[in-house]
Amino acid sequence: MSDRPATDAAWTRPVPVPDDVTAAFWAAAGEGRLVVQRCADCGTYQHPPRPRCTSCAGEPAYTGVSGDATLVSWTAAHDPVVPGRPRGLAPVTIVVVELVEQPGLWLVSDLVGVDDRELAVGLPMRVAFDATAGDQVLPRFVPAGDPS
Amino acid sequence: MTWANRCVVAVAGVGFSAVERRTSTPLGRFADDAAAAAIADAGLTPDAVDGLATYPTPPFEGAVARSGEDMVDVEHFLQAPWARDVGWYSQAGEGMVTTSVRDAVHALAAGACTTALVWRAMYVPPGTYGTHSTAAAGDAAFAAPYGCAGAIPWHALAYRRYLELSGGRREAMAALVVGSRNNANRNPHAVFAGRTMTEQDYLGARMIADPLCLFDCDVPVTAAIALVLTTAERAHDLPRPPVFVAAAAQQTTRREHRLHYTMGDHVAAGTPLVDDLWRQSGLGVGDVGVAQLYDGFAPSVLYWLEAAGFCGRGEALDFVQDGRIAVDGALPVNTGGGSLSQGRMHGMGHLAEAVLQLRRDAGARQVADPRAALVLVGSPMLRGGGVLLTTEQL
Repeated sequence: MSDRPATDAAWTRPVPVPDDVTAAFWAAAGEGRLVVQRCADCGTYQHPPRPRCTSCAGEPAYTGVSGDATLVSWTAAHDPVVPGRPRGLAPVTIVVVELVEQPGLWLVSDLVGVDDRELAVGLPMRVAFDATAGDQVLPRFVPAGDPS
Repeated sequence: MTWANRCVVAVAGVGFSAVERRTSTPLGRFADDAAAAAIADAGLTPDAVDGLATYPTPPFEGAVARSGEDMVDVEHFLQAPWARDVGWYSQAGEGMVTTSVRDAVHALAAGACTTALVWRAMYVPPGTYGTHSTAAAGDAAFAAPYGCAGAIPWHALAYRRYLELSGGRREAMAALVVGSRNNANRNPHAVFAGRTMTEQDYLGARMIADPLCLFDCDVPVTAAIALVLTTAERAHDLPRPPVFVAAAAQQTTRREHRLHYTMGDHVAAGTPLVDDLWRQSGLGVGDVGVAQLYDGFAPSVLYWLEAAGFCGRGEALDFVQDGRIAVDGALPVNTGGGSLSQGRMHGMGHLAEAVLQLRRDAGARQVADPRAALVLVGSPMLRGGGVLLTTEQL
């Protein structure tokens, strides 16, 4: 573990713009809850949100999920690849995680304070709400064994 | 069942502009040069052109997209004094240049035009580009706030997962990237024609988004390349050996991961497309004498090799070793240097190189006796497309 701060004051993260389909996701994140669309008809989860279920064209409804996940992939992105991040700072480790609720249910996050050499496909992760973009709280993922 | 339009249309001419990095010369001038060269190569005069097709999208976010300046769309050539007889055009929004070729084949076969100019013009803007908005709407809202925006992290994440699941090492990619540079050193149309690369150069390159280093990313150029397509019947009467379009396909399979589509299964996405090319042409993997595989990012070559069946899943990094994909290897790949070393032409460089190889016009990098050239562009989930070209009219 390094001492890189979870909230990096020098990084102006792009701010999510909620819309009619996605507003509930961001409102829940603001309350520290992770919700994902689940089809009321066939039960399939999907992310990012869509107007209809992409499996059966049914009605998706936001559903709370456990926040438990596993690591799918990661990259340490150097400047100037990372939007809103000034040059000269440490790279940002961007990760993809798969929620335990369903294979292929993937979310993007970034990971701070972890040595990339400790990462592996399948590493257990869990959700945290420890960063903001503008005023929006972001759901992020940290290794499940991380005491923070 | 084979394609109804199999070998009904042929490439009769190919033309290149100069290739530069940044320049103050408007892009339209490059396109004019490439078009004139292609039309002359076909033994025609510009007024013979009555069909136009391109994929014009600028290759970077934040483009102003001024016709004839930083992009060259159909409008640019419609305003040319020789274009009065143009009666058909097509401007693809997705699918890259193979889609434009396919559109032109359909138009020529249907009689909508008799001679089609197909081109791609690419531009490097001054200063820093690829700027991203401070607000993230739509699907980007679920990625950009975490630093994930644009093709580089998408590809880096896909490549990392590929390496982890296949047990490959990124250092092994040197064989492909240095090999492409060696090919470019024998290609006068390559931006890196005169610049060599060693394995040490590759291994010492700075990281962009690991495991992607600088030399895994293609080189932005300002240039244009054009082809002249006509019916096979007419092509037989023109000076160049006709190169027939034996098959043309697009990647239309459902993206499992819409937001993270490039991190889904590229090989699975590319396989139906290549299968379609085999079905349309009646040819198979063993008939391919030279392959031009899209390399906007180097790992896309691995995905295409596996999707096409040149090797098994997870085996492509081994496949590209030991000179197997060199000009004199078992399967020559990206013989002109590809996007990595010829220059980022969004697949048009690959197409033009395939034509030159089949015409035996590739000079010092000529493959011995290719009868069929496989061109696969995109990566493969993102704008995947392909054509199969042949020397014989099947």
